[in-house]
Amino acid sequence: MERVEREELQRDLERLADGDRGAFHPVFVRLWPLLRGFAARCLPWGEAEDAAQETLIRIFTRAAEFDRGRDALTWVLGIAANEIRTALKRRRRRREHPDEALAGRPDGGRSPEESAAAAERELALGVALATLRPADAETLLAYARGERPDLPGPTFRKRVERALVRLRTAWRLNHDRR
Amino acid sequence: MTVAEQQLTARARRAYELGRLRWALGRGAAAVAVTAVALAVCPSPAAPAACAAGLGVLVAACLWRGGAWGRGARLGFFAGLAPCLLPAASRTFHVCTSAMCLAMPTVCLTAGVIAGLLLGWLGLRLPGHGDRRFWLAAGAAAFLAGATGCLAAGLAGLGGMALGILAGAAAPVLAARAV
Repeated sequence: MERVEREELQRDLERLADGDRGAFHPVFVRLWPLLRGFAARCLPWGEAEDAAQETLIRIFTRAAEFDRGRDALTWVLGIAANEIRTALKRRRRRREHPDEALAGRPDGGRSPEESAAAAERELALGVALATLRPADAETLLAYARGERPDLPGPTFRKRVERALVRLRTAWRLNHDRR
Repeated sequence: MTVAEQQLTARARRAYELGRLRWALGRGAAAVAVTAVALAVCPSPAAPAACAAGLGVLVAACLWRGGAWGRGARLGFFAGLAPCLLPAASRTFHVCTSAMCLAMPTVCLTAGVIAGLLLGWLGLRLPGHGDRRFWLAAGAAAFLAGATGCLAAGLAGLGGMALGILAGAAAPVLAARAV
């Protein structure tokens, strides 16, 4: 999410918390695609849609509690991460019924345990990446994909190192909170 | 927007209003619980209890509505804690002997002035203080919170407290206008 969008989300969520019903639509329009995309990274399509809907409802239920001192995106993604974690647990429990579990498995090559653990890791990484500055997140994603932006090598390496330090801090913060 | 998205919007809107109402009711109940401290040492708690209940409803309604109403009710409640709790404190710490109880209206007047000063001074620093709804909510919440503590001192206590709030609030407001 770009810095401008992030600031707008912050402002709109603060207005919604203050009781300004006019901020409902902008928040909805901004959050729905974000949550759908976020859930789709960890869950198969049908379940991702359900989890995104539940997250959206939960966010609006708790909108009045939003504290303007907090970062809106981190708050939203925290709720989304909890909802996705619940969906993942539900999937794990469903493994007791092998037919259903096989039908819902996103990756036929992995065992259910491996899939769940990978999804958990991806979720935590997604939350940590989303809390970084967009430039840092882009640098890390480019590095992970093996791409080299139009930059001198040492500059890019420095940027990757700095972004990794920030990612580690965000990851640690996220894990300590849990 | 698709039909599914329209349904989701309606669900989200309902969830927002319900969540907000639940949150506001919790805050209203907390306001009643705080003012109930004044009832504990009150000789005849029926009328003050009605004021406390009214305060709870007012705070919940204003917070649910939000905006200027919510900010005003919040400020009014905090300012009103002075006339709500000071008379009770004076009774608890035995400042109120049989002779001193005659001075309860004075305690209420003083507490009212403190509440008024807080209202005027803090209110002018909050966003949206130019809105009439802000002052209406603040005044009503301060009056009901104060009445919970001062009604036990009779109508003289209530009148003294109301006069104190008006006088106290007028000072900073007039001073701000003069500048």
